[in-house]
Amino acid sequence: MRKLNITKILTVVCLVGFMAFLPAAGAEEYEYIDISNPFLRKIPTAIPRFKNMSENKKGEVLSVKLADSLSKTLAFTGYFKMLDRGAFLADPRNPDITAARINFRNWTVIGSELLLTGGVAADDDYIELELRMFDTFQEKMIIGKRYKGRESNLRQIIQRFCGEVMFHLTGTRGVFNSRVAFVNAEGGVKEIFISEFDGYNPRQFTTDNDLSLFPAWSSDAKWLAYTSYARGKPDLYIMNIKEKNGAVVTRKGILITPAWVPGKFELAATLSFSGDQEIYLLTGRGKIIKRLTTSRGIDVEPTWSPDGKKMAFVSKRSGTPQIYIKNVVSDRVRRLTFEGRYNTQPNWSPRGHSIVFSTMQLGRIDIYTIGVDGKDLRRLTEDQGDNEAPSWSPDGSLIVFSSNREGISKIYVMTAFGTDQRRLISLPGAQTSPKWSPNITNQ
Amino acid sequence: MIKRNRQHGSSKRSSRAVLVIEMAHERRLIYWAFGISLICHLVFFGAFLVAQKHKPRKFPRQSVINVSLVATPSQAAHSSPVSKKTAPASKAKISKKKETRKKTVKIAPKPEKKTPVVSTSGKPKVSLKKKTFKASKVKKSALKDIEKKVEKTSSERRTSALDRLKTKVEAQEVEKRSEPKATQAQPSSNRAGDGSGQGGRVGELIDIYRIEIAYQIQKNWAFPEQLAGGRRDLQTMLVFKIMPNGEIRDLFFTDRSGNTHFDESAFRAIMKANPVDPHPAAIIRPYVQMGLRFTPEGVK
Repeated sequence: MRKLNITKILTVVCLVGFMAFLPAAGAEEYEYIDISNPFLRKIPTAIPRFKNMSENKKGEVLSVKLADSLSKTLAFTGYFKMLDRGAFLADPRNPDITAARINFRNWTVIGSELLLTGGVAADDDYIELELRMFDTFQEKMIIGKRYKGRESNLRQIIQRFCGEVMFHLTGTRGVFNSRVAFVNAEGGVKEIFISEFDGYNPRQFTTDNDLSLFPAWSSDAKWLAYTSYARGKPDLYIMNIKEKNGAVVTRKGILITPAWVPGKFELAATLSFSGDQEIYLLTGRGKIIKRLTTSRGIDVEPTWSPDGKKMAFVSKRSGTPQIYIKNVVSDRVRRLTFEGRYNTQPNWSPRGHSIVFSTMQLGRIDIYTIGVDGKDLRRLTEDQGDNEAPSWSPDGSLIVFSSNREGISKIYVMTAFGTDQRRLISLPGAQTSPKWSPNITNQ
Repeated sequence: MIKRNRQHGSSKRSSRAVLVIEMAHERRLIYWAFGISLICHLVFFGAFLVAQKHKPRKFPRQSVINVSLVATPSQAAHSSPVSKKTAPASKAKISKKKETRKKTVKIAPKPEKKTPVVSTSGKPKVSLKKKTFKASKVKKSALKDIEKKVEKTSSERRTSALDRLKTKVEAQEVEKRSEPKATQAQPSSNRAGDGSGQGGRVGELIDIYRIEIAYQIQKNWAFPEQLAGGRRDLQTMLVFKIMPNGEIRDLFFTDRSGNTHFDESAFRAIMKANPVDPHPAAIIRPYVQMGLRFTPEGVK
């Protein structure tokens, strides 16, 4: 028995030795050429017009309208390059929408990597939608969903499907359930408005007929804190968005730049009752929990890390306004920005790794991002007027900001890399201080 | 009790004896095994050393490729995107980025725009409505135009590039031949020179062909930087064969990054480029094997 064992073990060891060596020798055979630059930084995607399955006029209209809406909503994310329908080889009159019927070669040959198809059946009351996403090269369906709703739900349906698409690609549902709050200045008053993530349907939130500034969303997107002059001086208002009630915090001096602690009914804000602008931690009802900064010189504009353990803020303690990070657990403070003499308006990415802020240089204000470790400083805007007040989208892929590139200040959006800059909101008057909400789950 | 003990003792002794014999047997076995493993080891390391010897030959050849590619200015646009630092994207966006990027970026958009400009130039502007109205007609004529142009330009480009390379390689060969003559024994060096010269020429052509194909594939690579999830250490490696007619076969991964979107984007890039340019006439091989390493270095 033993003999056998030993010989067996030895042979096995030898064989394993050989085997371990063989693939390594095999790998040596290939020489690799490096490719390190994607030619296109978006996914080429085709969305043909939807198939009208009800064969009535309403379905006909919707089949184009909904395809356009899907295309526009997805393109907003900056991940997709929508291919021109004029280049499609498939018959536009009678689109194939199921994997069994689609000739994928028609799509791969025009370079489309993703194909989204839809079928719409409309009667007088309800509309049924079948939406699918295909990988054209693997010739398989990735997502398939059926929705039913009234015409007023269609926007929501499209957004929900887009959420599915984004979830497949990124693991998060994107920005489709989020909103943007901003300050709209018109006729000498500044009111806070709220629009949907893509600038659609802006509605007035405050009606004080005075100055309302610095909107800030709570992390459950149910509360909005802001500064208002409604009582003659800058007080802090903490309002429930749905019920439009809440607390007004009033003290000597100013109360500005609120920022909610993620996951808590607490917020940080700058109060100046001590004579110096310092950051305090308040409850959602407006009671002071503790003072967070104690240096001489102003400390303003707090923004929280996603875990709520760190807070970035602007301080003038070194002479010029710079961004600092305070660990509220250990109470340690470190300076984040060293380049430039005027760095303000920090906003911590919901992904946690970087902070976007604005810098004034030679009289121009531009937006930069910096890693939380102080490395990897990147400029996102350049030669396009002044660009201020950046705020991350809830998935950390987009940044909303205000810019006066077209004259008066308007709200714009860009990707986290500074690409795809476009205007978000078209309202008369000037818009400033945008703040992107977290994704709204149950409203 | 005593008896039993004795018995026990004798049985112990006998079993000891058996043990000794067994051990001797085992020892012999162990020696055998050692011998075998020693031989195996020698074979391993011998093979390893031989493989190592081959390596340095490959590397200089690679560097030679790069040089000759740079010196192939058939079209500045054609050769430039192969350089590592080009970053395609729309011009407007790029201009906004850091100055440091500017330098590298400017070269890239040219080749992208070249073909459409060529194909549509000379045609009167047609309104978008018309364009879509008579889509089929327009498409046909546009395709014809493009085909003609592509055929012309690519074949011209290739032949001229190849000619230039041939002359260059020949010149290099002459240089090579003249150098060793001075130091080494004449007959052996001559023979070696001839052999490697021929092989090197075809090898170099293949390497140039490979780089051209790599460029064709890179042009088809689409990957949004956001999908890298902030990671820059992604790397995916694929190997495939190119048939003489340009068809890509036997495509497989030799290394994956762990990010499926990244891996798939690389896979699709190759599939989209398929079929690539056919082999140049000088390459007479059943297929050309080729490996590509995709990294998102350029992705910011």
